[in-house]
Amino acid sequence: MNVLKRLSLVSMIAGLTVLTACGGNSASGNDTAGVGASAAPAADAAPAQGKPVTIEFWYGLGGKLGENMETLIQKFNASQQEVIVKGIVQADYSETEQKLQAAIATGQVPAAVLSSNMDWARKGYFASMDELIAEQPDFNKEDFVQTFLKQGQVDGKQYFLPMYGTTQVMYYRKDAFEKSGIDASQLKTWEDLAAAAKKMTVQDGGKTTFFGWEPMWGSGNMIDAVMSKGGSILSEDGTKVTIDSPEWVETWDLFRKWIHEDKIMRIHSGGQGWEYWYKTIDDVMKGQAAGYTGSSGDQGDLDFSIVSAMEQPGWAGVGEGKPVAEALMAGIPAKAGDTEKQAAMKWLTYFTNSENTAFWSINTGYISVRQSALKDPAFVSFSETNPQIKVPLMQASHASAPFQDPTGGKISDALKIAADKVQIENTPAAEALKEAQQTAQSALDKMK
Amino acid sequence: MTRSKVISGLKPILFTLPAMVPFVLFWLAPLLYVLYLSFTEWDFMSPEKTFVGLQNYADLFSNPAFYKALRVTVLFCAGSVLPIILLGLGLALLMNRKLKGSALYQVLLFSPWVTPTVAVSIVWSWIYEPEVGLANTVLDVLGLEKIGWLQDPEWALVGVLLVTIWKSVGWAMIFYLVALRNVPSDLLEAGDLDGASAGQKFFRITLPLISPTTLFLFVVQLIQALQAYDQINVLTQGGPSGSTRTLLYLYYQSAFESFQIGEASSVAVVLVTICMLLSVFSFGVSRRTTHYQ
Repeated sequence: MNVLKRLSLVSMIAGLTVLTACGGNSASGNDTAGVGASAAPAADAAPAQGKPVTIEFWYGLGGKLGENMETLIQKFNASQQEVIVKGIVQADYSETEQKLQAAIATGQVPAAVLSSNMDWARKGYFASMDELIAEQPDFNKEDFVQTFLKQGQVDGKQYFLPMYGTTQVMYYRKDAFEKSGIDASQLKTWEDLAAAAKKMTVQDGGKTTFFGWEPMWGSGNMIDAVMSKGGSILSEDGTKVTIDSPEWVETWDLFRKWIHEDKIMRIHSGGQGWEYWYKTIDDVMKGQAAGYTGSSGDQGDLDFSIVSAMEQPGWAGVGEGKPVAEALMAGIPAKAGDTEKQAAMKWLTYFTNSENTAFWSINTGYISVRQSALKDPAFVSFSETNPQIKVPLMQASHASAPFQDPTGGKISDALKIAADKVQIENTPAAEALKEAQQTAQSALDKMK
Repeated sequence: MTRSKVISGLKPILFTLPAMVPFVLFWLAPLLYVLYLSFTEWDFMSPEKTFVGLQNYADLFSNPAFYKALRVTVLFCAGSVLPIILLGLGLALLMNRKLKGSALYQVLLFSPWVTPTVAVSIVWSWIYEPEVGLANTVLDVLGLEKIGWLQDPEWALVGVLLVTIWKSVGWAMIFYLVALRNVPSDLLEAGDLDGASAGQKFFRITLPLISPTTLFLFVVQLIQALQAYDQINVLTQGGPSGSTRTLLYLYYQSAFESFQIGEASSVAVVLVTICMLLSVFSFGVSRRTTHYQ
């Protein structure tokens, strides 16, 4: 081999090595750029005198929600000179968590994120907020809706701050109810609702052309109804999965009957992302169904000259409804620097102050996280002309706490599959739930 | 050993290095790392990994969801690979007849292959729309019952398979077309002289001569079927009630929804093992059935 050939070979190998090394770096670089974490140093660097601290806030909100979030970010940035929040939009809540997983692994974390994971908090990936909260002069912890605030606690320490609350409420067509002579305020139980749905349903040749009600696809609505009946997902000591108890079987089988036998209710399922959700809303808005069960956050999309809202019912002989009310929370990753953590806390405090949580509630329909928001002049004025805004809040006052899956999602997945079987396949609830219980119990046993 | 012998001994290593470096860095090392991860419990973020031995495999093999995903994977492989090969061959035989506008048909049939799977799947999700989608409109016109293509667990896998077949069949056709054009015409003419029928010529001459292409398409399509993710994620997200959840989708859910990397890695190792076994089996069968000129 002559010298020239040897040199070519060596330079080729060297080039390849450099290329692969660059490839590795650029891959992670792109990933970081993709999530926009480059401006969030993980190291604790004190800012230059008088220079504002720029932090990143990741949130998975689009559409009007995203616009409202951006409005509040701009408002916060204009309100003071110490912190600049840079909003980084993710596709949804799940993607935010996935991106955060990668960010924690690489150490390039945002200072604040609209995401909460109790397991991650226990493992130390999120910072405890207690000291940071104490540094905020006008935080007033007691003013928060306490059930929401407690949802952000792990072992008595505050790891997440509720940003807004949500619960599934009932939206109904005023004209359909009026036509059938049904008074929404008298629908106190699921039995009442089923009777009303039957009365409003229109069938033509055995085929339903107008549905009395449309629950939302998935286990959520049916879990709410079970909670209202006194059911639970786990036994009190947390060792037994109880999703095959009579409360579950009876409730889920009623939904199956209403959908498949009586054909007074319908489920829209599948499709892209939120497609099934909007199909359900469309059915009601276009006069193909009398009402549906949906998120408090749907209020921003609904025309309340056509529909009205009411709370989820309870069960005859049991009591008022106890559907789940959940706080959407934000946290501060533990790997953020101290200065960034303090800046993040300022931003989260600002977002959750009385005026802004009222603004959020008015514009999105979600539940404000502060009790004082109810007295906010803008909220008071808005609720006078839009009384539906108070429905989720009233329901949240007697709600059930959301389920924290100790198996990292396996119990929820088993419930999701069982719900599909009941809602889509017309499988008897006892059979679907027994199978789900066995799967979930097995997953729970492995956690011990 | 003389210096020249050492140099000539090192030569093959030096020449293979450009291929070996990326192979080791991007294929072998990650594979071995995944194998190691499958013996651990890890959430991807913690600096420490807990060694759990074969626990992840024991959990996996005792999990009914695994067997259901395995069944779906087998159905998906069989339901996509065989139709792609058969339809690809059928279309290639048609196109080989030099029909008028054949080039245009080839372009049209091949175009789904170059379109991103996500885009293709989104369009098909509209076609499958239960009330106003094209698929059910056609069924309605024909007087048939509408189908819940992606909503009904009985039909969801069929819905995903149709998209997969439609996307790949043009690609298989192109390979077969080239193979058919390489079949020596003198052999077919000799068949004619011997009085062989069209069927006899196809099964005795053409099919054996294009068998290397069949083997290639079988192995590549099998691997692609095992790797199918995009269309499942867009069309059904593994549902309804797990009816389209393949092993790869189970892997995705373990890794990026449950954040259990060890458990996910054990699924990945099983998947790679199945892939390797099927490839070895295919090559074993091919020794007896594949004819190389």
